Amino acid sequence: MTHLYVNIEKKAFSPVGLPASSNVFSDFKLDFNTQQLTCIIGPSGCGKTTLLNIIAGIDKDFTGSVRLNDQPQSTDHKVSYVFQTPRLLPWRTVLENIQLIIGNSPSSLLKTQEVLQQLGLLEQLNSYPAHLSIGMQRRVSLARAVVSDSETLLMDEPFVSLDMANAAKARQLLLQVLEQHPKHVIFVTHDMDEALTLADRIVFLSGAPCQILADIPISTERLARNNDWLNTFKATLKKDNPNLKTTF
Amino acid sequence: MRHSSLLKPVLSISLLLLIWQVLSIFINTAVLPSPFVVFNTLILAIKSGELLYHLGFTLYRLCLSFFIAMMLGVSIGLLLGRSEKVNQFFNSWLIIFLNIPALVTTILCYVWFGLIETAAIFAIVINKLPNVIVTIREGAKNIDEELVEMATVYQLGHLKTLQHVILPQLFPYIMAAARTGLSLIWKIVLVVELLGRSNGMGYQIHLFFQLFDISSILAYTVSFIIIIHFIEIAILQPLDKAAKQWK
Repeated sequence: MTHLYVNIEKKAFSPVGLPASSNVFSDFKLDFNTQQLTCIIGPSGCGKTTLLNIIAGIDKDFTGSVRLNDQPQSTDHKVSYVFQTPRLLPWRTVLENIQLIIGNSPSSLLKTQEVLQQLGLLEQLNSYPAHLSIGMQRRVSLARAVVSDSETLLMDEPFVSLDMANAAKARQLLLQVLEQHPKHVIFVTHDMDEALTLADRIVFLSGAPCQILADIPISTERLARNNDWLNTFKATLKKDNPNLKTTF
Repeated sequence: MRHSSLLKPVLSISLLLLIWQVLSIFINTAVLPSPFVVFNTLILAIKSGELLYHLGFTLYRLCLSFFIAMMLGVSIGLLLGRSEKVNQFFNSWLIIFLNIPALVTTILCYVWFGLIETAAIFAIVINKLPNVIVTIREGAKNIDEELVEMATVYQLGHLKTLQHVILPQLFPYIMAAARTGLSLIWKIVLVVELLGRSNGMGYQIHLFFQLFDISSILAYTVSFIIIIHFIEIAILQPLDKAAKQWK
């Protein structure tokens, strides 16, 4: 079983123009089982996005390491990232955006078409992002992340601006796509119900400096997670972890 | 649509020609020849091959120095725009080079390197370069960091990031630098030719000045106004159009 170890000894964040800096993370350790979908929940500004950026290798301004298994060095493991905003290149079509990442071999084209079809975007293959709705752009961003040959898929509140019905639909699509293209997923959200629907494990974070408040595995089959189950689970969670009250 | 878009410039140019014609009749001196005289001179100069010979040299210098200045300017501008430290260090250099008169750099180049072609090209590049750098630096400062981060996450590498993420964002700035650059280089290249070359438009115009041949000066001017319009319509506008396809 593969694990991804995140160890942040110190990550300071200095607001622009201010000399004083506060620690976002100090002695923070979290490891991920790469077979699982882990959801991370925490209050705004606690450093969830920073955590993802560190794992993604965008944020290198910290002391610590991100390692796969027990390799001594920080590894250059392949990551794909669904950002809060779609971050598509506006001068490239949907297909061209994806092909920039995975190349334009016939097999990658086939894979792209397959995923886009699953996400209901096949007709938009040759459209420019400006001609798509924001929901469609998000799905393209998801498609790009899924078809890329990454080991880890990072998702930063990807469904935050969608209404409830569309968000639920998007979550179902995500699960369907992941079934066909399994990946290690780290999913950041502030929506408890979203986390409960998707996760194999939920990690609750505190405000800065960021600490792990609770680490809860969920073994119930996803299909069995109906409304009643959600409510019971939340009630038990509250009773067992009184310190979580503030987060949901 | 197409009809009316052509009509306006034709009308405005005709008006300009008309004013010129009326003025030349009114003043009636050798210093302001009428458009017809200038047109005849132009035809004669083309037929004799003299105009094309000198225009050719000027265009060659223009193209060469334009491409050198653009390549260097885009690279340096990108570097300055992307790195605040480098920018702060070199900013004062830029201000100095922006404000040295073209005449001074040209004379210095000829004095230091001799009256040779390389000195002429170098002088034009030095005059044009700071403007390109300033424009591209502005563009580089406005590059969307989020897209660059995306490129980093997906491990696109430097070359692909430059080609597909950074340069498309710089494109409007490159076009602006190209447009202002062309008009600036026209002006400089003539001065450079006047001071130290024995061919080219600048050399010829200097000659006509000594002979007081105003209609030839105007004929040469008209010839490069036509060329500039040709570059705008045949090269720059199609490039603009192609780049806006996705909007």
